[in-house]
Amino acid sequence: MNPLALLGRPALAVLVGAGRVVAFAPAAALRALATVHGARAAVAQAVSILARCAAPVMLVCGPIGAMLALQGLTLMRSFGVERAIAPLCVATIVRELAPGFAAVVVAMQGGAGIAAELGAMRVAHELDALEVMGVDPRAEVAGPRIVGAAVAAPLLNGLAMVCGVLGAWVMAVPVLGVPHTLFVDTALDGVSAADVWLSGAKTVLFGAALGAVCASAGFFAERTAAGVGRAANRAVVASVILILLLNYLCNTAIFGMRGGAVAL
Amino acid sequence: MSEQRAPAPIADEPAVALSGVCKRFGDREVIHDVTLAIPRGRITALLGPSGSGKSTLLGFVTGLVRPNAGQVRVLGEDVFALPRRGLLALRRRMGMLFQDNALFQSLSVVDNVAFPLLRVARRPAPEAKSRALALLEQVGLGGLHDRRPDQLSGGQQKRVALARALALEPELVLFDEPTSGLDPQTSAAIDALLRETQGRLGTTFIAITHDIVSAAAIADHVGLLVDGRLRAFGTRGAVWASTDPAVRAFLDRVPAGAGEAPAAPAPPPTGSGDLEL
Amino acid sequence: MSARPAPLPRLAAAVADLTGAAAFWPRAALATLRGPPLLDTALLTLRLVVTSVPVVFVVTFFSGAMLTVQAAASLSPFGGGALAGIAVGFGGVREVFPLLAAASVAARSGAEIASQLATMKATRQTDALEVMGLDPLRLLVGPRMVAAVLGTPVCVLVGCAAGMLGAQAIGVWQLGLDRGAMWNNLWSGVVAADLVVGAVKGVVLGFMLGAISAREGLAAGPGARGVGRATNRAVIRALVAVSAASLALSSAIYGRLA
Ligand SMILES: Nc1ncnc2c1ncn2[C@@H]1O[C@H](COP(=O)(O)OP(=O)(O)OP(=O)(O)O)[C@@H](O)[C@H]1O
Ligand SMILES: [Mg+2]
Repeated sequence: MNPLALLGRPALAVLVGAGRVVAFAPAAALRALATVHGARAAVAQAVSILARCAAPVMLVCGPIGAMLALQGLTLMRSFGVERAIAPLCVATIVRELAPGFAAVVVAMQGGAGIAAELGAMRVAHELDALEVMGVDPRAEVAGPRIVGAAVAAPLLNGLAMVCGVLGAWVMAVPVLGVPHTLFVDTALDGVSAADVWLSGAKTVLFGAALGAVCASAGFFAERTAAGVGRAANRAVVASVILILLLNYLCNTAIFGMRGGAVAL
Repeated sequence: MSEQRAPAPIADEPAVALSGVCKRFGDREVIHDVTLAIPRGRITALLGPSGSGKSTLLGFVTGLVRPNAGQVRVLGEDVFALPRRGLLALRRRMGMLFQDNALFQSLSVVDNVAFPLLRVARRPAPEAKSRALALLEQVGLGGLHDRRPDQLSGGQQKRVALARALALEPELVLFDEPTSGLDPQTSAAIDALLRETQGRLGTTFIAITHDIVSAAAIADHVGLLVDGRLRAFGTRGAVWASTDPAVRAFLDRVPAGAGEAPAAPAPPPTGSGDLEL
Repeated sequence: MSARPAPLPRLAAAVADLTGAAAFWPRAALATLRGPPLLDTALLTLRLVVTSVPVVFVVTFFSGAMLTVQAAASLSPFGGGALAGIAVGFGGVREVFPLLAAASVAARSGAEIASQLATMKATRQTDALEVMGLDPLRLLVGPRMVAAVLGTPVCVLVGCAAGMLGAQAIGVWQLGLDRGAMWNNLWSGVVAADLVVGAVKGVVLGFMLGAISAREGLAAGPGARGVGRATNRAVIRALVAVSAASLALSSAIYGRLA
């Protein structure tokens, strides 16, 4: 096969998919928010995503906090700066790990769920049934889910921060012998309220983006069982990539192009 | 919605009028130049073997499938010339029972039936619910309103879908294979329910089927679609008496059950079957 | 609304489900040992690597970039760029890149395994195999398990390399650090053993995500809804298992050294 086509075809598919998300999702979300019914449905979706994602967020972010403390302490001991372990862990968790991994969990649990459900509704003609009733399925089913993901993600980010810091504490204090008072007294030295707000704002963006990608994938799924599986699969992969891309762009925007590295 | 266009529907204007409609999927022509007029206030059955394009034809009426050529007028409106708003408004005057029921799996049976009342007619919740319960009673499902759709048998699901399609008292009700996948007794019961309901409401019903027995039981008018071509259209008696070999080839197979009507052999070029068109 | 089962039966159902999932692992291990069809195995392994590597590359590249930007900012009181390079290289190769690589494989290929097997279940192809006297576990699960166990370590190593490249690219182009110094800093905290540990992690995580995905696929409910749900469940369960196992392995291996 032509090597250019080998690269060109996926690139084209990505472009077409991205175009469809842009054409579909913002309008769907806005139309849902335009009515009381839609706003209420969005709240219900947010609650459902919260309920489904809370346990995985805890299970994923606790270990990650612990991992951070373990490796951070190993590295910092070799430089003799282990007294700074708590602020470093807390800052990294609040700014990076919590929003990133909370969003990845929301993509894999909530987002894949949205794609799977909308895909199944497409196959069973439930979306067509809405159309024929004169109800716009974009505003009725897709919009509330996109908004729900954007609302649920920052709340789950808060949960991820708490669990991450707890995980780091468990690894640092009882396991690796960092004094409890040192950890607690210095924990907040590395973060400001602005960090928390920025982190929350990032996850609103991630949630909206993954909601948009997953809802589009499900809404335009092929009308077969295999098509629904593929839609959920594609939705998760695209969401995870998008989250990391956005996270990098956000960091660059927040910390500036030079990332505060001028000290060197 | 469409103040400028709204031509007052003439009393004897057909409920659905297709003229010169064609549809291609890729390079396959699935509907070939179909012209027909479906009368108001009657039950019309569209017959045809599997894959002959029946569901596609219904898609034109609901506006879900856009034809490549031709015009589709439904209840006096040109479906594909309407803006989206007008199309949604037109659809609110129709009800449809899908081939696979398309019940909302996330809602209970009664909420499925109440859905159009709440979301389209915007009735208050208690009124919508009591109306939905009454509709379920009418289709013989009084006690099952709290179940989820997947906890019902195929025939029961059809009844729920029928109740939902009728909830808004539409001027036009479309049925895509109302009896497919059901045993003969259940089919007959659904057919009787359709007849009875149409007699009571006096609105236009269009039922798609490949079940000749079912068509004979319910239809006032019959159309026969073979390979995307309309081979016959007229009153049931006229079509049943047709001597067109393509029509006879389909009708003379005594159906053993739904889903088994084999594709009719290619019709001879003579007489393109315009009975009473 | 829809009749939701009471909490107690739901808990019981969850416990039964998890027991079923745990019971599947030894069967999956056996399926890999009982001689899965060779051609399928080779093709599926190739497919896993070819389809997952681009995803792994993008994800770890940008996480390396993101970590560098962030580390440079928060480590500036301690000497900024130099320390950022060391920290990203050290923490990235030991933890973040392998974990994200495994998570990417779970999302790309684990979900695909689950959705394929679920489709076969939904369309009763697995039943058809059984009726013919063939074992779906050996024929379908075995090759996919081997593919996951062989392919994931490759993806982990690719992830480590891509993460380092991302850190280097951002360090040099965006933060304006010295090209050679940045590369040296990145690798200064890494020893060859770390990459071996990464590969070993890859094998274990690959087995887990393969087994979880295969199990969720084969346990799928009917229809398109069942396929979608199975895919969803496979991904999230694999992510949870992979991050827990990643920590357990790290503390077992690095905990004693710390
Ligand atoms: N979206 C589509 N894309 C491509 N081909 C299609 C599409 N929809 C229908 N077709 C094809 O058009 C033909 C007519 O399909 P249609 O669903 O209208 O048939 P039908 O008469 O309703 O059949 P059945 O009795 O099996 O429901 C079939 O051959 C089908 O394969
Ligand atoms: Mg059909």
